Amino acid sequence: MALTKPNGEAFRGYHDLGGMPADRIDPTDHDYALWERRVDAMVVQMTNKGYVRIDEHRRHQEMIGETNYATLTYYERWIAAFATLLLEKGIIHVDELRDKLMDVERRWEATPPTETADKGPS
Amino acid sequence: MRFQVGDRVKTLSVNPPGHVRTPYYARGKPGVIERFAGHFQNPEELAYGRYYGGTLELFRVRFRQVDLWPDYDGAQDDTLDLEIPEHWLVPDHSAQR
Repeated sequence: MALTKPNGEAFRGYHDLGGMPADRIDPTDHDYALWERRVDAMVVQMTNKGYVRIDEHRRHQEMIGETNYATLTYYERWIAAFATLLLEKGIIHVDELRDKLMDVERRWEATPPTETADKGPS
Repeated sequence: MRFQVGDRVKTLSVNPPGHVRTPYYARGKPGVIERFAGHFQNPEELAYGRYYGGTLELFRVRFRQVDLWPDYDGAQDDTLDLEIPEHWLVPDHSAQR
């Protein structure tokens, strides 16, 4: 049975892009910002230590909304989805996340990052 | 093992909601078992935090590009390999290819 939407179209995740029209892929290598490396390290460590599974992270990336999915960069998508995953699992709490975000914002306003400095969260 | 190398198979033609790893373009398509790729837990369940289920057999399945893309204009014998778990595969007893 193929489940369909009321208009008869099949369910197709907005992340399931194989075969859709797209621009050329830029194959040149690029460097990663420090915050992107930190996000990568945190996700890999927490996965390796068994707190979360990669499949859960993928599911949360598929749940961030079509516009977000299309416009966020790779690691922006990763951190947004990882935050909701950690909330869902009770590993962090909404108060902690809110307080940390406010903390980072205060620091940002006190000393705005220069163009060359790392702009990411810490 | 549910399938042997060389078996003709077809992927399920279903489009369920949830975390699904079989790409949309490869559903309901004929292919051939290229190799057994090991036992793995079901990512569709792991995605929802259910870590303790059994394992499924994973197969590398070889598809003809012309079967995947109706407007494919490359070589007729071009192929694509995808790894698909057993529960997405059924035997294909239709036409010989």
